[in-house]
Amino acid sequence: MYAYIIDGLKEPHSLVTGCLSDMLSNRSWTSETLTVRETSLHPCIGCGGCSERTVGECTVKDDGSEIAAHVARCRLFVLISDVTFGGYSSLAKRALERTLPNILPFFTMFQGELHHRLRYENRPPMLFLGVLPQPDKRQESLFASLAERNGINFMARNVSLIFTPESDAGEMKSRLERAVEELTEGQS
Amino acid sequence: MSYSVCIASASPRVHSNSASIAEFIRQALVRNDVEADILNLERRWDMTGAAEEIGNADLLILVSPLYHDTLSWSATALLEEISMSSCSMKQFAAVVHSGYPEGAQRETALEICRCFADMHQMRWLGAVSPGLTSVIGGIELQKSGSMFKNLRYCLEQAAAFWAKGEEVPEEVTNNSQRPPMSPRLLKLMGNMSIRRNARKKGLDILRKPYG
Repeated sequence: MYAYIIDGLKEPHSLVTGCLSDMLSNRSWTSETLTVRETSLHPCIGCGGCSERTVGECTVKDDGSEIAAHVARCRLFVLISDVTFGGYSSLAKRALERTLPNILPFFTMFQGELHHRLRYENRPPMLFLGVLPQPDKRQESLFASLAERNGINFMARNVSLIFTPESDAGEMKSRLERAVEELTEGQS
Repeated sequence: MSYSVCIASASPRVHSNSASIAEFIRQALVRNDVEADILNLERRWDMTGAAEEIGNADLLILVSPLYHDTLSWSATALLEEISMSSCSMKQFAAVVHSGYPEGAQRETALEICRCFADMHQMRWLGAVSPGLTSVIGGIELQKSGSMFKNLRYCLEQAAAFWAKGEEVPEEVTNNSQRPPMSPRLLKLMGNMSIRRNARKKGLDILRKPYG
């Protein structure tokens, strides 16, 4: 099994990375991490080229060129972000937007709403890890809503977890284990 | 001192629908005797200094497309920049728009805007949240035909409230979310038009470069 991780945090976070690496090694999964702060990665320029000029591929050639390929092939997609105003940070967002080539221009109805069809049958479960400088119920709930919305758009199972300085390492590790268990249930 | 408004058009695209909406709001504010400046973020990849460009505007109106169920990167980066600055702006409003017709798809992004306003002790002056805006095609909203009559009406109404420094009533926000076309009809027509375009250009639109 292969997990693709986008680390969109402004600074390294030892608890988040520790929990993730324990979870991966417990399962003997392989993984690849894109640490956005260490890359030169352009946000989506909204050119529409991935549905016309270079169908299925991003026209921007930089450290983000391979994001769509990894997401298309992985069995678990993890997005780590600082929580800003309840949403993703701009650093995490610039990487997330580069998954756009995996979306087809065609429309479909999903869960009673109009959505774009997806290019690949593989719909990796999505794990969203948010980091807050202090507990904040409103932002936590907004982050969870956003993760759920993304899950609907990518037609994938999804779970979000929030880390704060008050988070207990042991508890977060077991919550992450449970989340991944739930997300990958039935996957071989 | 007169009341000043800044409208941030937060799409990375050139000739964007956000820019069309921003210009329409600017003109509507002028009709209400309020001058407004547009901060156009097209092709802008570094927001350093953007907060200073907003200056001492009394009201910031953010116009953002919906990318991945939330504000665009440009909008998010702008709000982060404002958050770190000593910007004295006291009021905030938003227009979050998307190609999807259903208003529910833009609710989270609007909540993020509200959250931003509250976190910075700014007065929230409400929102307009139209769908199907991809059909505007970057042309002047005034020339965008009868499909966007309701959007123009809602923006006119919203601008009248914003010009007075008042919050846009919920009825206007809700009305702006009314889809100009049913999602199922849009699916049918949209897919037909995409297929026709792909055939014309000889595109293998279902190509799977990564397996």
